Amino acid sequence: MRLLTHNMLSSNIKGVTNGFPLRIEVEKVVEKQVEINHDFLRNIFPKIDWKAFSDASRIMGYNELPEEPPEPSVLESDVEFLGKFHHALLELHLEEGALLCPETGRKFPVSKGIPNMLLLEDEV
Amino acid sequence: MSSDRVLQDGIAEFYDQSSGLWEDIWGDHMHHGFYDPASNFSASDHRAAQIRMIEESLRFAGITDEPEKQPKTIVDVGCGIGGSSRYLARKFGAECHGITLSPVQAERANVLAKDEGLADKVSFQVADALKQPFPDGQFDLVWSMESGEHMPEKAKFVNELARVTAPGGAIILVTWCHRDLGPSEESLQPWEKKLLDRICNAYYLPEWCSTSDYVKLLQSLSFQDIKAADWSEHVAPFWPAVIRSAFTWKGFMSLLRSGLKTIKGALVMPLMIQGYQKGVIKFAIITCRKPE
Repeated sequence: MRLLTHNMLSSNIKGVTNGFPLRIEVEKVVEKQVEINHDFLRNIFPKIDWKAFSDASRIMGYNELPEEPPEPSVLESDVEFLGKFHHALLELHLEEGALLCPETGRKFPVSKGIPNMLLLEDEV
Repeated sequence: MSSDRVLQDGIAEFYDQSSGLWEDIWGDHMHHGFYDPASNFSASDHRAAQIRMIEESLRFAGITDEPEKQPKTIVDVGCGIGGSSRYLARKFGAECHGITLSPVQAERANVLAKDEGLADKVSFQVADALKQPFPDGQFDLVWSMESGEHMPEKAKFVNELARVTAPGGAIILVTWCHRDLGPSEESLQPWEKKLLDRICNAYYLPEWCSTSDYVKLLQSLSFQDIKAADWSEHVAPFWPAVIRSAFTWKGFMSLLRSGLKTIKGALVMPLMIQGYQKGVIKFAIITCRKPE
């Protein structure tokens, strides 16, 4: 599971008012190289919840991202920053571990990089 | 265990068991091809027809090649092994998330994405379409290609599709429906219900609804530009082609190896043809847009 995916997932357990972002429990992180695409990064940047993303990257063991979101102009010119953004967003994978509902602590297992978000009957 | 849960487990197991065979013989698109009525086809046309189904669906929804109109974020609801997700991600350069009940499918989808160099664009999760694990308004395009027929509570299903659609975004829903009911009809005829029940049993489908049921649900959610069409004549060659593939040596041996659920599914295929021929089953497309 990449952090881009993590930035789009939330807990929809019944009664939970804010299920985003899911907390990350790491068992195994894998790095998978992917070709960088600057335009893609610029397009996706406005859709990213930066705080959730940068917090998650630190939990995954990557400390290069600023806590505050950069100004959009940084993405136009700062190639080094784009590289870090790309690496954290797309190249760090939670292979084994869990995602936790921020309100209830309920664990959604991540196995072979695939989160299982199915709810039990009493959570629906 | 509730019947919904039993259904979910059945669906997951059916696809865990059957996906490999389907992919082996038909490739990574687990949906009907789109054909011109009354033309002739060869086996190699079917894959092109499956691609055409995607393109015709986008066209019907008014999603053009204009860069500003193209979706940047897509959810593939009932993604199978990710054929649509990969195609759409590649076509639009978009980020696509697929959800499926089948862990086997999700895993295979990820492997194929990696093989095709799309691992950065598409990701797959095991999740329930009736309780999508996404916040509201996430996706420019909400894509449901032949998965709606598996959804037990249609209102909940449509609500979730609507919830995750971004303002100004589009829903494309291509699914099997039963015929619209006449003005004086409360339900389908008993023989029609019987036919559908046998199909439901083999394919892990809950009760069917009609195309106009979907339209009414979307109207109640204030969606705009709601369009619906019956594409049954455009998919007519598909089931006979699938049946023929089951009778090839490869098809037959694969069936024997795959398991009882898959075999049962294969045996029911003639009923699908019957259903279409008798006007009970409709292959429907419904598209709409969320107001800005």
